[in-house]
Amino acid sequence: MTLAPESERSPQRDPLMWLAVLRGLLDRPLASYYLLLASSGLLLVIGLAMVFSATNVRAHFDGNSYSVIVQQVGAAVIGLAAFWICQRLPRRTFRALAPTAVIITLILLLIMDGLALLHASGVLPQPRIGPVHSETLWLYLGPVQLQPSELAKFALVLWGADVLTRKGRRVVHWRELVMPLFPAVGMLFVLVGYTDLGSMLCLVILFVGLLWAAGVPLRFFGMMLGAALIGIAGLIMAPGKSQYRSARFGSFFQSDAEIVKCVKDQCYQAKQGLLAIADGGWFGVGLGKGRLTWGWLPSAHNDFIFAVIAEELGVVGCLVVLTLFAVLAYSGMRIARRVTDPFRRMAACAVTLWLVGQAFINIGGVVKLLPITGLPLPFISDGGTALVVTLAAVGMLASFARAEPDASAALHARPPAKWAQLVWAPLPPLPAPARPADVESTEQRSVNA
Amino acid sequence: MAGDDNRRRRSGIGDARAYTPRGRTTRDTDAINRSERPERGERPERAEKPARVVVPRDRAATRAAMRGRPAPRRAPQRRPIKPVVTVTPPRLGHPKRRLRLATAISLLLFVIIGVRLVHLQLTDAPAYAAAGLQDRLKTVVLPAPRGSILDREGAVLARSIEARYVAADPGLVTDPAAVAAQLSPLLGVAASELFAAMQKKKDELTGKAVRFVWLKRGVDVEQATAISSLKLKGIIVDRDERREVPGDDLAANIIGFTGTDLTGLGGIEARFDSDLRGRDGKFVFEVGQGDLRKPIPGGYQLVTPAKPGKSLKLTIDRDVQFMTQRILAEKMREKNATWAAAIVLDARTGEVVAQASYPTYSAKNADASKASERVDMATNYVVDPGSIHKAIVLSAALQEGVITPTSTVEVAPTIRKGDTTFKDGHPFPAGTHLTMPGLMAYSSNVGTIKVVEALGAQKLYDYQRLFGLGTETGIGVPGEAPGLVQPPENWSGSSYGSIPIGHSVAVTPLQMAAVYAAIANDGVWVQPHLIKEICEPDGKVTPAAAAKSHRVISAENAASLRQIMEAVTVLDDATGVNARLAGYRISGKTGTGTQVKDGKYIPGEVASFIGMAPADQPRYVIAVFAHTAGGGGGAVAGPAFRDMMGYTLRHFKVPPTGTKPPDFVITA
Repeated sequence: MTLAPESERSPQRDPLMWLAVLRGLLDRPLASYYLLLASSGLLLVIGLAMVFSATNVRAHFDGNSYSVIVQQVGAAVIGLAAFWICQRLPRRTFRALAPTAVIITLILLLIMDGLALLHASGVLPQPRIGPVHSETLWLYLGPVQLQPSELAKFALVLWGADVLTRKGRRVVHWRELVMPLFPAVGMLFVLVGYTDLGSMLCLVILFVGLLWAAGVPLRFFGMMLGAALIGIAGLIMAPGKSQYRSARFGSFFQSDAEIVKCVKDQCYQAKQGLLAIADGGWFGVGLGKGRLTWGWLPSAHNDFIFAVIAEELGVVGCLVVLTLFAVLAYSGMRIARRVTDPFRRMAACAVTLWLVGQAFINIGGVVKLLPITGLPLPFISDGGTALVVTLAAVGMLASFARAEPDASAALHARPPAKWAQLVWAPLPPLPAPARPADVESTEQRSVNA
Repeated sequence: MAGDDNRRRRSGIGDARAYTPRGRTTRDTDAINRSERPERGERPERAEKPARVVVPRDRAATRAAMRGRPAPRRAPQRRPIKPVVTVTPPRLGHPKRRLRLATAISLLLFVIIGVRLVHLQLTDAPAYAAAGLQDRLKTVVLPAPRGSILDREGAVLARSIEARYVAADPGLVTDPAAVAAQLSPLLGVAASELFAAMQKKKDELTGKAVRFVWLKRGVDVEQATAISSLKLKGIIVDRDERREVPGDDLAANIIGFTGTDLTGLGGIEARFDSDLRGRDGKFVFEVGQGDLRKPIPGGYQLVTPAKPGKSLKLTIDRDVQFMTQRILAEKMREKNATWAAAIVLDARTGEVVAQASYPTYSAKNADASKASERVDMATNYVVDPGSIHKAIVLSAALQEGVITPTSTVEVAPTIRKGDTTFKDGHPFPAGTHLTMPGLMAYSSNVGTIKVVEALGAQKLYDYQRLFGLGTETGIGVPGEAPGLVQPPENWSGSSYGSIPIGHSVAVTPLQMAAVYAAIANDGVWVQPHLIKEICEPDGKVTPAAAAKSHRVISAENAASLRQIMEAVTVLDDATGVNARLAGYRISGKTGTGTQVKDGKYIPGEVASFIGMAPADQPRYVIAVFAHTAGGGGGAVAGPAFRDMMGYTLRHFKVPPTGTKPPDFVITA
């Protein structure tokens, strides 16, 4: 008597219930903010665990198991500080810093590439001048070691968003769009792409994201796509130092079975990546129990860390990481969609596409959906500069998330305690009664006119 | 104020406008374009914006003031330009729609990766994982030493000891002359030999450079360590096993020898190779790469334990074997024998206590010996036994009741059978009634032939077979000959004379020793055997397969025959006086046969003596066979028998016989 109605009711209710709950949760004003924090925080933690797992064997035999992870944790702490700062900064500071950031980045890249070029042409015996020396992707300024190409990503986001915001609607005109953006961005591409094709691809994606969010007409994208394909093909086919790169690209066209049987150097990394995924199976061999981290898998701690995840945590672990990236992509795009201000929209879109693109290029290379390019996996790979810059960018996204009109209104309606604002983040600006970008663009137009 | 204002706008109609496709359809756009509106081809929505943008803020107030002016100024400027710019400027993309698309594409990318991972796992991943594992495996061989060969007391006759091999990779040796000079004193190999081995050369079959050359195997561990410490480039030192034979030529013909890879190549080493040989185990484990080439904890591991070879405990007694070999060698050198064999059998058990061949060889250096020296002559050589065969005739006759111990047989100096006349070596006048002891003591051919006449060919043949002639004994030495006895249907006329006295019969010395052992063992034939026990590596001891045995004659007849044969050594002018041993009663028989090789009788004679002691209660049977230019069994083999028997009895603490031999009557 009592059972019948319940059993009738539950199948009707349940499938709708969880959807409704999910909708309800997503409709909350701070949903993007929490999704962003949760996904990037979990990715950071997983990343630290995996970096330790991938490096402790080598580090152990080199003397100290913790030598690499300690550095990475240090970078994470600096990164969290950067996150904290970026989350607090108001929009105008980002915009104000944009030109400076790009100029500094360009200078650093010029120094790095210049030293490498001078060394390559035989002018310098070592790629070093005084305390400054360059080593492939790294620039050493005295004790500080950084990757200018990582800084370039964040700088391009800021500056590009700033310029495009100022252009406003005029971006529909090719001339307006091109100057001064394209020469500067082109220079950035060349300087980064000289040593690091992967980062350059990432910059391209990021730049496309900026233009996409700015509302640049589709026909321009078509033109740019053509140019980009020609450029990439040229870089891959370029002789000299990029021989290895083109060889690795070549292995992309082999089938899985061919790669597994392959004994040549050029498919070694792809092969070990596949073997790691195969070895992991569905549930993995267990955290820290990976065998390919015993010197088999090259770049196990950075470019190929996803293979380590696949081996140790299995398909299930990989799907968790992919889901976290998907949540990050969703929340980043949601922020871009919800913010009213075009600078925030473009910057959020560009940062999200940068992280998504970098993650996809990296993971795609490991699972052999794409050629191997040598990009780190955001949040997860070992590498200080990349982690700090990523966390800073996420900090900026977080500040944008708080500036969503609904979020801002909610925070103002029930503001956190004063000390919490001081320690964590100040109250976001109240949403402007009208869209400031429109105000600005109109203003600009009028000035131009 | 501002907040309220904003909230109203956001939540109200403004929001709705943002989502409605108003003004964005192609129809609308076309209409706009056609009408050449002055708004640069943009959406009419734009027209409303200034109104929405009006913000009651201090800064905005001034902007609003500015905004008023340019609008009318701009319109007249654009209008004349419009026809000049023939291309209509494209529309600005709609941000929210574009961002939705970007979200969808981003999520799709991750889904693609997820699908790829799941697909890989569902299809090829297990096979790839297995293939990858193979790449990461390293195998270490766990060596299993070859079993030992021990004597009946457990003393080592042959054993394996751990050693090292020294080899060279000619491709890596830079200065062969210097390396050879350094290695020569340590290896005990001439420097010139080493130098030649280390020369770079190409493999004849493959044409590739030879990268491995043995320099010496079985090197002592100490010397190998000294060589390793020299750290010579291209010189390889690794684990090896060496067969050690402490006895040198002790029982070498039985034990045999091994090749360089420790495969048994002769004797028991070859026959029981599968028991002696150990099965190498292996330890397969997963390793890292490069300088991390170490076992991975928790990685794949498979241990197949090594199975050391079984050890064999022989029935041989080291001391008796040594003395037997020594006595045989001394005596036979004196007699200038071509070859000789001696067997010491435990009469009751069939155990071979010693089995010697002359000439013999050094098992330590088997390569230096001739193949003929490595043969176990006691089992591999086939001879015509001669008069020692008469014991079989008398056994059969006694058992079949043709004669009694006290019977006599009428003899003559000669007897003719078929086309041959058979003579006696110690002829008696025709009509002499010879007793059985007399027949044996003087080895009367005529008497024996006459006994067989009474016995019949079939009965003799049956007893020959019962005594084990014509088949291998199965002692456990390779190459044992079965010998040959002819069934009566094959007998020719002269066979009736030759076969009874041990001609036209092919036997091995061991077969004859076994015949006498059966007589010593109260008529029960026991298969002679060499293997006493098989010792498993874990200490478990399995006795060898039980020796086959069967009764041939009754105990009384055996005792009677022993007594009859005692006359051979007791009577002063008998054939076996050389075999007399002070303090012990000896029963035995001399023989003089021939040897057949490759189907022909070869020159010279095979002298033999087989005897047992103590005659009343025999413990040991010793057979001595020797091939010499000529000479009776008593003279050639007797002294050797005497010395061997003397030593064996003392060694096994057999007390001297207390009783006296009976007085023998020769003729009646």
